Amino acid sequence: MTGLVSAHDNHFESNSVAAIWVKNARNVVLVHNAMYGPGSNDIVVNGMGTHVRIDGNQLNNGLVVGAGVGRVIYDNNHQLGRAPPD
Amino acid sequence: MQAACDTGRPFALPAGSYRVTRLLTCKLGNGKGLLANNVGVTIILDGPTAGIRITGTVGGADENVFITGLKITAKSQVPFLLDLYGVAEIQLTNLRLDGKNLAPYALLMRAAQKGQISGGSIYGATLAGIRQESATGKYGDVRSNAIEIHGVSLSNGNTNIEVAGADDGEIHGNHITAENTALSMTWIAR
Repeated sequence: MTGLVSAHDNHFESNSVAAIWVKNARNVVLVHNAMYGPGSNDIVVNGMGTHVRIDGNQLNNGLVVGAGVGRVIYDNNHQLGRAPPD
Repeated sequence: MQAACDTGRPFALPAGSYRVTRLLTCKLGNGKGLLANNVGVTIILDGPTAGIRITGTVGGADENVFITGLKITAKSQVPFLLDLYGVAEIQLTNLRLDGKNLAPYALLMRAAQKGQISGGSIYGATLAGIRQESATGKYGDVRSNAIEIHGVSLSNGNTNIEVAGADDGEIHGNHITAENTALSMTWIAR
């Protein structure tokens, strides 16, 4: 069984660990999300064979990819480095 | 409430607060559905087993669970606020779920298929505001699939959305804040 889980156009803020954590998953697409931190990482990807596409997001701090991850396509993302507007 | 649910007919509870002290289970089978319009209704869960559970066939049928405007809060330690177990065709619209840091899960969805969580707010779950996972039934292991979560404000959960054991799904246009991990996705479509 294969499928797709997509998270797109979401607003993340005030997360202490990560806005998005993908573990042991395939066919995950993360696009057009706005992440304002302030956690040390915005997106964490780990797990053997995990496949993720990350495209067109606004990140605050950045991406962490663990050992053994199958594929991460990371493109057109913007690292902001500031707090969200009130 | 139990009787209304057991009829399988649409119902609207009169506006007001309802204290639930035990697990209230709606068993949907034989084509029964659940259509509940609950604007102005607050369910207060108060008791160690208190919760609202809606159960279906775990694959192989469309139960049609449509709930609008319901507010559920925890007043004591409870296992969850709302548990959808093995139901398909789900429309949850503008629900207000507040775990008050007393419930591990606000909305638990096991083998939940086809539908959406639209609008509303989900606060204060100590483990996950929304958790999707699989369940085992007549057709074997059935993962949650085709659930769309959109327009929801999620806050103050340890993890606000946890997708574990899902084939597919879509999460978009949500405001997700004040947690350890906003969105966790595990064991999807292996």
